[in-house]
Amino acid sequence: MTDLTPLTPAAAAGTRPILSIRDLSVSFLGARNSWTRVIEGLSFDVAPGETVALVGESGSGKSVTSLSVLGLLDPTTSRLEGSILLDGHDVLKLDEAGMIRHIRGQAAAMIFQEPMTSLHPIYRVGDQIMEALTSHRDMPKAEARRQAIALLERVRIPNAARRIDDYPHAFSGGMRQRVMIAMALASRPKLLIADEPTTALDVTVQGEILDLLKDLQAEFGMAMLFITHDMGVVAEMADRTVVMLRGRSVEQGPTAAIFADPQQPYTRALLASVPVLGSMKGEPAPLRFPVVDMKTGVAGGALPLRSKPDLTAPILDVRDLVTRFDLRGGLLNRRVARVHAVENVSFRIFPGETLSLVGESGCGKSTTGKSIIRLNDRSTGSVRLGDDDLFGLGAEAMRRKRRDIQMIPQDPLASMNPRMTVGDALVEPFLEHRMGTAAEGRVRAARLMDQVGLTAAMLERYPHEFSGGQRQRVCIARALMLDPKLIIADESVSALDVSVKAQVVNLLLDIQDRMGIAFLFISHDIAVVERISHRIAVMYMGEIVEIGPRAEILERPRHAYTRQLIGAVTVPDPARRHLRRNLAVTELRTPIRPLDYAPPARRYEEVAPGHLVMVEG
Amino acid sequence: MSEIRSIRARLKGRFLGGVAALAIGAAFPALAQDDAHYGGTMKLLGVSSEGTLDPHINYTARYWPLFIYTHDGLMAFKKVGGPESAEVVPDLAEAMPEVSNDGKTYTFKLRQGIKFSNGKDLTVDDVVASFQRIFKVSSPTSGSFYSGIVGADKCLAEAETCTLEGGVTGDAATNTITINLVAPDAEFLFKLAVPHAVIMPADTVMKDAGNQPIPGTGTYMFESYDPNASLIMVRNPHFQEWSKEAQPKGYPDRIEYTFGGTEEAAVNAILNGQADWMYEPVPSDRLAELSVSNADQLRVAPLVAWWYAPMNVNIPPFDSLQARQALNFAVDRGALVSVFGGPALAAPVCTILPPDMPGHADRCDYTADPGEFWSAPDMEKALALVEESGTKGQKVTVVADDTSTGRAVGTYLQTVLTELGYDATVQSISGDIQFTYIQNTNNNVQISVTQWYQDYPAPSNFLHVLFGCDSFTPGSDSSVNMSGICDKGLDDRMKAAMALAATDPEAALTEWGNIDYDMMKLAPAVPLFTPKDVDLISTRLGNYEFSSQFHWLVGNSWVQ
Amino acid sequence: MLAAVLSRLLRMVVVMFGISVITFLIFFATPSSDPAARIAGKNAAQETIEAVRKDFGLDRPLYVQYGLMMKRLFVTRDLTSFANRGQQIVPAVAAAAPATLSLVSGAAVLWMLGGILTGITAAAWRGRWPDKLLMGISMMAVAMPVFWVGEMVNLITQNRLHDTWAFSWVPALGYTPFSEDPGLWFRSMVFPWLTLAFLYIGLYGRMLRTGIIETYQEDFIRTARAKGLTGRKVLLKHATRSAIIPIVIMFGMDFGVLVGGAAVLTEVVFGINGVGRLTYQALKVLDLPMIMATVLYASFFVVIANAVVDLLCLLIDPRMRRA
Repeated sequence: MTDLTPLTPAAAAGTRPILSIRDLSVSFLGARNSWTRVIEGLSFDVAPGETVALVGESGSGKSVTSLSVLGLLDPTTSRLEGSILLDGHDVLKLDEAGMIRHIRGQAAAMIFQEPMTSLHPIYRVGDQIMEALTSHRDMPKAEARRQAIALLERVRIPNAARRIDDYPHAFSGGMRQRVMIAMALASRPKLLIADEPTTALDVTVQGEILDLLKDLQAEFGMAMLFITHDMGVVAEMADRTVVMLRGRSVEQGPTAAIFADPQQPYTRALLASVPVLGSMKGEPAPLRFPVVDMKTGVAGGALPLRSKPDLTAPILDVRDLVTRFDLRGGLLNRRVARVHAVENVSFRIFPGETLSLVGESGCGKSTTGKSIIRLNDRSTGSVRLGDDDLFGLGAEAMRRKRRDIQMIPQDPLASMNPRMTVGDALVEPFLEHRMGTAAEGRVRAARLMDQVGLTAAMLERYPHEFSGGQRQRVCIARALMLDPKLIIADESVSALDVSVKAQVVNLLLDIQDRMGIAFLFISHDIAVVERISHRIAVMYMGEIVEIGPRAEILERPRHAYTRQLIGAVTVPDPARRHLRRNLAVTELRTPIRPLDYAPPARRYEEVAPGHLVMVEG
Repeated sequence: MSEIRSIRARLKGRFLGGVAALAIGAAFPALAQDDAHYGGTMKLLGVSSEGTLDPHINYTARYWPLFIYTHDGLMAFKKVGGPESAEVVPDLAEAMPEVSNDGKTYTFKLRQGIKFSNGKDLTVDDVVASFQRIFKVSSPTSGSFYSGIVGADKCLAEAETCTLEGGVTGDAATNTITINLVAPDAEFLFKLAVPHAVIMPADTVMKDAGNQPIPGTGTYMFESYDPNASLIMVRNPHFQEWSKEAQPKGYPDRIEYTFGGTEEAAVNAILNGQADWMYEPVPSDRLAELSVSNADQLRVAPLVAWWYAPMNVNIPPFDSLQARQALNFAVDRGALVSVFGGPALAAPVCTILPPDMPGHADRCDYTADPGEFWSAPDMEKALALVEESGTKGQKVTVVADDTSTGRAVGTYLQTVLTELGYDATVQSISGDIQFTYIQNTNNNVQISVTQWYQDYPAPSNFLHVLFGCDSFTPGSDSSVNMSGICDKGLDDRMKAAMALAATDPEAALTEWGNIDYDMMKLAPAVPLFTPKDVDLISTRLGNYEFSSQFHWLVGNSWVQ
Repeated sequence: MLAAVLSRLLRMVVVMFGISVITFLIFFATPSSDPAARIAGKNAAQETIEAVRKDFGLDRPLYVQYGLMMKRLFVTRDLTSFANRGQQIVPAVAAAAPATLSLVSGAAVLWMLGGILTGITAAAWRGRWPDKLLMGISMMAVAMPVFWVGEMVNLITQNRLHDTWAFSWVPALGYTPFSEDPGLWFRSMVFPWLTLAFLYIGLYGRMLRTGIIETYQEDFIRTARAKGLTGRKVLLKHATRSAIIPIVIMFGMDFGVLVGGAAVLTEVVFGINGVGRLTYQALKVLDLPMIMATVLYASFFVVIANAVVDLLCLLIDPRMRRA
């Protein structure tokens, strides 16, 4: 890795950069009083009005960099060296009072990844924006309120004058991120730091927010430091890109140049690993991600799935699945409304087949997965696994049947007992289901560890000794211990870094090839879904709006929502940078209905063989 | 029948060297009548109140000493300090009664001109009604003290219609009361001198009056009573002194008894001059300090009482006589005296009748050197007896109350039992529950720690009540014969001794002494020690007098 | 709203009914608790006990006895004590309540102010000496038994230093109603307040400090700092306000429980004849009617406190308002 001389187009153009970082090093105080360096000799500039993306995988130090700029790291546990010049102030030389007077909420403002938790839950959004307005300048309350409404209107929040008095919990994630942006804009900052601002949002909302940021940047003429791991977002947003790896800048330059001609192997590997929607055009079967050589960054060929689904008899047959939850509230804790989380969902999965459930948060896709294995008992309908109706089984029979359906969770660490070795965790269900002796379980666990790309020796380790990707492999091995016929993978790869994500997806396909297991793949990430699925079902507000073969759904979407969903997906192509989606600002609709709501009867139209679309009305 | 085990004597604590130097009660010379001492407000403190203000019902050591100043019976214990306090004198009766009909008929002449605190005159009707009332309100002693009155059996069975026909009759013309007994009762006059037999107006409510004061004839009357706050006594405006020894005119004008707080706080209040006396015993840690710094404010007096460990003679291991005797030999009374606070506060006992009880004879078999007094334990003999009894290794649980002394005594017994080869444990139960718990045979208590105080100075008070067949009722919370012993021969001798007392009191007392000795041969209990009373008084309080019957004589003391 | 209140009331009745039944059953399941024998007195003759049993209706089936007791407690309100016969339960509790309320309310003001101040100060100086000092003191406050602290306070103010200028103004122990002499009421309550509050200041201070420090990990604190708010504003407005919610909940419960009688130790040490002492005395002598009344009284306050806490939380935390 070479530390490149920072590109300073602004300097070349004769304007002073708004942000200039030179030789920044950051160390954290770790256990046993040792200092660990997390940023090493980082240098880059951001010119006025320019957008620079800091891109890298988790642990690359991109967020630490952004926090350093605002001096938000805990001074007792962090040590900063080098220089950060922001709007003429040397940030590292300012004290707290100076930071407040010149930097935070003045020259620079920041928005964060988690809009759900970044707003104070017990103050009205208006008050929080007004606080940002009045804390740096004298302003009558009425004027602050007027400006706050204006800001909310600027970030396209409908009914701003009314919504200013709402509390954060009354806003959806996307709307909260808009509020955050409005708050950041309150001080008319010269630099807006956006730390993964869309990562936690649904795709359609992400698109809206990215559009908004682009518009606002033009309106306010501010510079943006955009921190992200998503190459699609980088391509769409950044004028220039700084690629980071383990605290260092690997490569930086104009975004178009980096995408077109990456110089460094890491950059190449990163780009090669990114799932790109539409890259599967014409592929008949699910296709593995190309294997990238991390040394050279060169992608190898991609292997397609060899096995074919056995279409004689479905392994899973879900009919008219309905799951509703009561919402209680008020002083009485009475039922006040009902969430129609899953409404009349029917689908079938055949042995060796992968059906993906896609949709945005709250659409009911995860609830569907849980309802199938009866993790909630509020469901009606029928779920046949092979010859048995799961909803008709007694508790003991159901327990035995669980063997056949295994789940791979979204957060592997949370699903493992931290005080149990991985080996014990793997063998435990094996013994629980009386599939053999402990010794046989060990042998099997060792073999499976091998199959998921780990080693048998790792069985003696504890969960915290594994990386995120390794943990997910352990979870896959654990699911395989019981010889399941169906695996439900609920957002199983969503939290992984791109390169790891590709590996885990490939592993799942390997397993399907080898064992003929069927997958119910639940995900919001359509680019990954495209790789792995035979068929796709799109869910919206608890219902399947469209279901059919992968190519049919992605290439010939019929339902308006499917189209919207696909249109919102970012593509790592800098050429699309100036496009606007022109999406309507939407509050995510939730399937909360009054108690007396009767869901309308739905009708599906078969537009192509196996391709069903819900007919409106 | 004891007056309730008062908490007063439950001194917690350790050995107190300095207490030996304490002034002994009644050391104050009674000064000649000095009018200057009349008046003022006396302030008494108590951690808690203790029940109804109805003298016919309340049976507590806390209120009895007050009732004797608000109400009178036909007879009264002499209100003087010292041994004379055990004597009975005429109170509302003009003179001692005429006894006739072989000791079965008592005739009293009622004093004239006495008024109740409500201004009404005292008449023979009030006397008759008061005796009926004892039964109508189910006085706790109605069955034990007054069942010998003719007609009492009917009254006990059907309280509402009680007339005591042929039992208690009044003649308004001659102003006499005649009481007929079923059998002679040498203790009858004692029974008439306790608060349960006081005379109140005939129109008094025929049920527990609770915290409503009942008019009386005493020198004081209750002004108000709030069990959660205070009890106030003021002078009875209609009182004229008729007998100084039966009902003297009290010195203070007003007596305020305040409830609440802690013993610790009460000590401070007395030392600060905010109060004159406290009911509860002085905490032992303060006692050590006070015996040096404020010795002149402490008064010590012997009590007619004992601490003892009744053993259940009906269940193992103490159904074995040898086992019971073994424990009697093994217990070191000297050690227990130390537990209680040292020789100044207690003395070892070996008999059932306490040293100051008439009839008590100094005899002791269960000691290293048998003779008159207990000297030291005899472990050798004890171990041999246990071996002989074949009860060695059995499980024994000592049930003590949860005061620190109760627990300490219980723990001591546990160690002795363990030394004797038993598998012993201690169970401590909240004080008020423990007393009924150890009585009920359903709880299968093997051995317990408890105390007993005299009601009036008669040996039957201890022997017959605690070890007589009549006091044993299996399955009842009221079965004060906790040993469950019922020896036909001894029981008959006790009954005979009670009868004998009517004709030959001296001979009767000797017989009681013999019964005591013979009862202890059966060893139904381990006598532990007899406690002494310690009072802490304010510096201004004068003329402290101690009655063996009612302890400190409140109204006889002055505060100015 | 009316429906809400009614439903609350209904729930309260159900809770109190359950508690009263349990109390009643526990009482009769306690060995040697035969109220007839207790009322009759020590060594009472069996006839006397039977007479009492009949007189007090103790020979009737338990459910009848229960019904009668409830009727006399709530309807005719003339239920009398078993131990202090003639002592009417309802007036006794009503008389004890103001003393307890005085004690607990005063202490509550002190401990809320003290606790919040302690917590905020310690959190603001986290890890430095004011924090260490305050946390040391509050650890002591939590560790020292109230009873002992009270005795020590008494030892100093009533005994050792009573006659010095510092404490000669302290009146004798006991409670004086506010209506009688407000000055004396205040002077006699000062040390009980301080003693009772001491423990809770320690408890609340520690809790609030931890709460604030945890809140500092929250994303919205980072947002507030990124906005350029001053450290003081972040601490007071953003961190403390969130961290105070559990304190309010705890306060409500503590207050309810204490008013209901849990301040017994402080009451006894300072000679304040409040509900706690009443309960304690009743338990000591197994006085069922008084136990029943005080237990129901306590549960009433706990339920009320619960409702008030719910309401307060609605005010403080808008998230809970979602219906």
